[in-house]
Amino acid sequence: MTLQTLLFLFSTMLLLLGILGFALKRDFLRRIIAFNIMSSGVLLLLAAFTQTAETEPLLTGVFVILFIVTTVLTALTLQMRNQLISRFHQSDTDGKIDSEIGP
Amino acid sequence: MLYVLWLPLMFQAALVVLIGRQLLAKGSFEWALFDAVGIPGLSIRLDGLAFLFILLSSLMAILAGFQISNFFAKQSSIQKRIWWRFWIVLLGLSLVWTAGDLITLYIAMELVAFGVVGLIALGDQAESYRSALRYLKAVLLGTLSFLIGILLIYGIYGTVSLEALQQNIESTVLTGLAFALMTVGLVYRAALFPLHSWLPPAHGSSHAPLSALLSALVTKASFYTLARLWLDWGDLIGSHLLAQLLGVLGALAILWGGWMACRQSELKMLVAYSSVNQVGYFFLLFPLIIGVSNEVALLAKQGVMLQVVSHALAKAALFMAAGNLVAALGSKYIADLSGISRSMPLSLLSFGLAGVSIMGLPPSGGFLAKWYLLQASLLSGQWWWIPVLIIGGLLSATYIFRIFSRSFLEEANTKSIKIIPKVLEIAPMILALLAVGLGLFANAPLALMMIGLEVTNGVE
Repeated sequence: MTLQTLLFLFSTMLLLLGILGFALKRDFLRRIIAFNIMSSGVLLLLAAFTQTAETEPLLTGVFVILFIVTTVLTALTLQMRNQLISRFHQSDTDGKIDSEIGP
Repeated sequence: MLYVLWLPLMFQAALVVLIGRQLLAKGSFEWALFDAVGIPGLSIRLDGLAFLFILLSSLMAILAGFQISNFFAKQSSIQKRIWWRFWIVLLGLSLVWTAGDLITLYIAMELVAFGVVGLIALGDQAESYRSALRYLKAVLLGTLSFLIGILLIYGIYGTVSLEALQQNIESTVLTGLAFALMTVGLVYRAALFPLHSWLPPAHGSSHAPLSALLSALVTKASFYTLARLWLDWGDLIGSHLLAQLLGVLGALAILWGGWMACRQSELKMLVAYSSVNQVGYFFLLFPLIIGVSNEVALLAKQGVMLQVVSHALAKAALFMAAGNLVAALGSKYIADLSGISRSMPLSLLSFGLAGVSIMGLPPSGGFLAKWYLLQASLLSGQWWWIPVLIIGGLLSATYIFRIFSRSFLEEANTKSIKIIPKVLEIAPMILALLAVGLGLFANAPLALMMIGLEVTNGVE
């Protein structure tokens, strides 16, 4: 078993695990974790693919950095949820039409 | 307002003029972004189709910006949070239209996604944040699938440049898998039928001028990318089966979206489901460009392009007009619309004119688009799309007329209808007139589209 097959196997496993978690779990925290597992799978996939093909190391680097940036951005966006929830718990606007917004 | 809206808009207009002159003088061109500092991969390519979409999005930026600044004239706290998201979305969109390689495309799509999540979450109904998270989920999964496809392609060919790939790409099992993954991801983001459930709440619950921007441009971005990939590679690696499948899903979207729009009780949700209905037409492109004659492929491309542009104009007009009506009524329900024709004739007229294009009545852009698609299906012998086109038109007429039959009812009126500033009725009117006028002046955009788009698709 070469390194590439090993990487490929593990990344597929992680991806499937993540997708299953994302599809089956309702809880928010579990979903974030599932998504992170999926992301790790994608990164491993990248490692597997770049084992043999004549890829440019620099371009691969760009991929990795990009991916990390997106993950951080996702985390920041999800953080927004907490702020929103606290906002909606304070003001009792649940389901109310936004009569105060607009012209 | 000057620094966050008007100055950037002027800068954008100047840039568009510069790019347009370059394009008309030299034809399509490519430009590597960071080659000088040694980062490979990132590049921009500009041709007629890309420029057409740049024009569309900058026009939309001007009108939506104008509408947003007036709509939230009294809410400076919301204004503060809107503009940076607004410009991130527009920056991302411009990159999507012009991306010359897969990495730039990926960055652009993520930029759009994060801006849009922020814009949706600005709505202050409680369901806004739920819709925003639902949208985020759809986008993350879609983009992940797209990214895995990119990685596969990169692993096989060692390059991400669209230009290089167009020459090297071969039909193998792995390439097919990558292509299928990218298609699925983009279809999810474009809200095609079975994967559309995130769209209506997202567009229905955000503020009306923002929904206008979202439905006019953001759903188009994913479709544009998908269409670009299929136009580039479809002949070599796109299968007939997958193309027909996309067409069938498009047809189902036309029927299901139209049916659901007829059954909505809220005005903005009706307009949002109408998007599901109209997005379905875009996907008739794929069966009509794969394995058909050049003539049919050209007709299909022109028809879908017209459909995309006219839908962008008309749907933005519908959302803005609907926003005005809802703001004046203080109620989001269609049942409360009765009597509104007396106090808000202009907004209702914009709604109707945009509706003409959505229904596909002549002389609107929507009519011409559906006419081209009809001809393409006849010429290629794919007659099964014709009943779909006709029933789709009838369904759209039904949901548009539902609004009108309600709003012209005269009842003993006990409701108080708020007076809204007249300035809010300008942008939807301009957009609606453009959507209708597109049918009369379609030659200019069609000629622009052909710059740099060789007719290589189709089997002779």
